[in-house]
Amino acid sequence: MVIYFIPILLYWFLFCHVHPLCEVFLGYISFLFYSPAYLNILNIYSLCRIDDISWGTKGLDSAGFGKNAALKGGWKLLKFVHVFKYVFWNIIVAAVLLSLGSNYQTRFWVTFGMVVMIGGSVGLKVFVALVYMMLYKIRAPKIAE
Amino acid sequence: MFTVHIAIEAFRQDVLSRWLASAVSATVLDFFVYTMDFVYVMMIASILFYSLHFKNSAKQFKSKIYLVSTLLGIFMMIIMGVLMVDIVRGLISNSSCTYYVM
Repeated sequence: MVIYFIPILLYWFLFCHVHPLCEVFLGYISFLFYSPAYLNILNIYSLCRIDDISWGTKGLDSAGFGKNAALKGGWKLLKFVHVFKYVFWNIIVAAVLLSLGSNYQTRFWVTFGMVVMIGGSVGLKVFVALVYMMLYKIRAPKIAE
Repeated sequence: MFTVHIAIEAFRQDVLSRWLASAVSATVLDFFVYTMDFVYVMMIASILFYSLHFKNSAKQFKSKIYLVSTLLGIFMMIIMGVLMVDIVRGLISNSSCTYYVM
C-alpha cells in the first residue's frame, strides 16, 4: 500500500493533480473487499474446473467422439493432481507458519521475508512503471511532431 | 491464513486480553483465535467443495459463493483495520505488540 502511494504522491507534487490520489483512496476500499474473491475464489474455481473443455471446442467434447473421452479422463486426472497439490501445500505451509506462533523471533523473520518478497515485486513494478512514464513524457512531444 | 491468524492474535492481545481479562479466562480467548482460524479454513474449504461439485451457473453455487465472497471481504477489511491500528499503536507508543506486519 505504502509503495503504491509513493508514485501517486510524487505525481501529486509534480503535476498538482489530486484526483489520482482520491481515486486510489476510494478504490482501495473496494480493492480490499474484492481481493479475497480474486485471490481465493477465482483461483480455486479455475483450478477445480481445469477439466471443463465444454467451451471453445465446437462440440468436439460431445458424445460420439471416442477420442475425447480419453482426453476428458486425462484432464480429470490433471485436475485431481492440481487440486491435491494445492490443498496439500497449503496445509503444510499453514501448519508450519502456525506452529511458529510461540516463537516471535522466528515469526518476525518469516513475516519479514514475506513482506520483502511482496514489497520487492511491487517495488519493481512501480520502478518499471515510473521509468516507462518518464520515457513516455520525454518522447511524447516528439511523437506529436 | 497466516495474516488472518496474526490479526486475530493481535486483536486478542491488544483488545480482548485487556478488556475481558478479568471476566474471561485466557483459554477462552485462545479458543476465540482458533475458532476464527477454523471459520476461515471452512470458508476456503466450502469454496473448494462447491467449485468441485457445481458449475458457476448452478443455483447452489451462486448463493454460497456470493455469501462466502462477502464474508471473506468483510473479514479482509476487519483484518486490515486491526493490523493498521496495531502498526500505528506499535509505532507511536510502547505497545505490547510483537508482530511486525505490513
